[in-house]
Amino acid sequence: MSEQFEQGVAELGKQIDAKISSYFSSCVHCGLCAEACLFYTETGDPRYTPIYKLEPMKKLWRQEHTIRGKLAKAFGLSKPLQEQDFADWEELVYDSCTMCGRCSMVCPVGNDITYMIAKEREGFSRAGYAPDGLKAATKRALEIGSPMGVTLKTLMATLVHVEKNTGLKIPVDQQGADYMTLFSSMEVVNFPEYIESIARIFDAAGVSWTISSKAFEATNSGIQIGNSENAAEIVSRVVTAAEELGVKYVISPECGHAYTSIRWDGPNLIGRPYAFKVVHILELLEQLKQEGSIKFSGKTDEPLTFHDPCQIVRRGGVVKPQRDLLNSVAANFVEMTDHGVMNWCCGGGGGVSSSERADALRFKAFDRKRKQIEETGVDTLVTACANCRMVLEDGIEENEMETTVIGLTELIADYLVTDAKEQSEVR
Amino acid sequence: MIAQLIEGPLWYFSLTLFVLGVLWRLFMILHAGVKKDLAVPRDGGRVGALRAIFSRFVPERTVRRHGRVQLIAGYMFHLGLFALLFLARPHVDFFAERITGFQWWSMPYWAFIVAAEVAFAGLIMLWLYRLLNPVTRMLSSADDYIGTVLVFLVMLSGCLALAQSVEALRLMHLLLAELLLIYFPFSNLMHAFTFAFSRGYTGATMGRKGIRA
Amino acid sequence: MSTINDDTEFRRALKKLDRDQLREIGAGFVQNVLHLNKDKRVARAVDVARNRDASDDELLAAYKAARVATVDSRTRCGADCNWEEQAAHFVARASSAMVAPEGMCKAADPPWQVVMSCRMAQNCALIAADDDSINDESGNQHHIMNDYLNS
Repeated sequence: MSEQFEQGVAELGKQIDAKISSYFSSCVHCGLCAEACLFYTETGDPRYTPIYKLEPMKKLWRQEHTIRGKLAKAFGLSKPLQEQDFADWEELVYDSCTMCGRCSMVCPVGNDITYMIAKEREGFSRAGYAPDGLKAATKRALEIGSPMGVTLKTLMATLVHVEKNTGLKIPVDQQGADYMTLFSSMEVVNFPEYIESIARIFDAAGVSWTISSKAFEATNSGIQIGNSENAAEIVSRVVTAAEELGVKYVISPECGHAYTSIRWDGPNLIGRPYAFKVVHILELLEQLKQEGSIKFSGKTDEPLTFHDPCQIVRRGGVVKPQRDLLNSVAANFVEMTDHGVMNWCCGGGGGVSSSERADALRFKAFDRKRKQIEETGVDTLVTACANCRMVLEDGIEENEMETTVIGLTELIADYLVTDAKEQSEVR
Repeated sequence: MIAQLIEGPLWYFSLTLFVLGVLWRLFMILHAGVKKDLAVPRDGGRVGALRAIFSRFVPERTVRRHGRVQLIAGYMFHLGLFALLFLARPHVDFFAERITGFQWWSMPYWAFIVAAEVAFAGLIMLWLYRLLNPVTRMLSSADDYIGTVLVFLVMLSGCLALAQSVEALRLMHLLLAELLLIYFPFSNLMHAFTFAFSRGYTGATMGRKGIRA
Repeated sequence: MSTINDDTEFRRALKKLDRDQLREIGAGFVQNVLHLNKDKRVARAVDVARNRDASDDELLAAYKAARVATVDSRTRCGADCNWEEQAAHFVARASSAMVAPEGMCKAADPPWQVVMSCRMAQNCALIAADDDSINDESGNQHHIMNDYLNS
């Protein structure tokens, strides 16, 4: 066995805390988690049962944390983890799990299986068993500051384009601004209209905001691949930049995983609380609306539905704002049957969409979302995550559906009241 | 001689091993520790933990239909077993004599029969489900089946002992119960105690995020 | 004589055009950046947009093909961004909005989506070339509009 593998096993062992130990102790193999997982429901393959993805970690747990396991190990009656175990499980751990958290919501004994997967990935990534796409993305995030290779120069070029289009200045490195916003590389590269939208909204609301030239990336590949050191480095750049600028809040953009990384994981990664608060863009927009700082004029009659990004709702705790905002600008908002906290994943989170190897399985898993969309009978799908948007569009094209996907922030920006002349049109 | 062994040293050994074993397993869990969550909570973790301990007794809405066999059979088995273990007259007498020193209400004979039938039916349904469902069949280990068989034998021997009122059957029942007590801390029967921890930890984490676990 | 040289007048002029005119002018915008995209589906969309006699079925077919071209050309999440390919993606996005039948492009302002996507395509091309020049695609579009209105 290689040294790297040994290091991976050692790391896996370090990840077994009281939570993990209680989870393995309580699991009675009822299989109910499978019914919550779209990789199982859409393929019927029992190997995609969430708790089954944890077998390597369970093997180690049994040997290190149970009486029977310790005795068996002492008497040479149990085999240690082998490299083949990691090799065999890599696809289960990374390709068939988006860390969406649905399994964690249904386990009768309360196992947070998503948490367990995140911990298991720490061992796998340390051992070198992670998808090439994720490894490369993490390397770029550490070396360049963005998993997609967006440099400050390329970001500024996009910002110039946005400024030209909006006639607004995008503040950079503004000391003492109230808010520092982050972007996901996906937004910069594929959906620059998101940046345009928030520039217009913040201008209308009179929000004091800025971007940091030292840390503008919202996503955290370290979390997705499962490497706490890398994840901590990535978060600390944001924290340092925000604290240097003296901002009160850091805004996490629409991206789901970016939010859970900075809001819930970040302080624990760097080992201390922040000197600022973290707010999701949707929370801020709803707050601005409640305060009356932004107003809307008119509503779209287009029947539309909403895809809840998992990391925002179930893993993030942001459920109401998106609905309030959507109802402000849409007259015919139709909820999917399983929505909000029990939405179904798009199938591409947790690094799955970055791995070409996982494409075939991802498209199969998309069947769940396809059925949800078809059940609503509407052709317009709104969402609030750049990765979900891309994954949804991929799935829609793959299935030759007529559905169009639009971003929530862009949608509400289209109905924004922006000057005194339009005030009279406000409903 | 065998009877004396079963009634005496083996009883004390199995009970001691059960108590110490369970405590040791719980200690091993807690000793692994949980890091303090430094993220600013949206809501209370303690409330979330308590809530989850009880809310997870009811299956989540979206999987309720799929899990209905296990739900029904599971409650039949667990509630039936609970009634047999703590409210059957012979057990109440046994506990009073050997552990607590006091008695409590015990159910009438007909209720005992009903509880036993319900518990048996539930256990057999659960066992069949485990064998026939591809997911549970794949997940299940020897531990799951040994636990099932042991509990079944304890229940069966208990019913036979009561029905026949033959001393040998009573001793067989006690012996099997002692074997179950010995096996317990080494198995995933530990879920009977650890479920509160697993639900509590998750409930606390989700509670801090403002999500009802 | 049209002498548009800023976006305010440009937008105003766009709003005065009918659907057929918007498709034609859109084709002009996309044609100007078409060299950034080699996908035949995008070139076909431009041809269909230019054809005033194009049937609804032809427009729908061109739109669907352009939409697929848009999705196919996008950089996947977490992948190393190739700005040349991104330029091609935005050209495809523009072409899709350009031929979208009524109600199928969900952008609030489909003609403006064509305009913006073309500008973004040029932006990406400049990034790819590591060229610090100012992106003047907006100026090009003003000229195209002037030529169209004055013809």
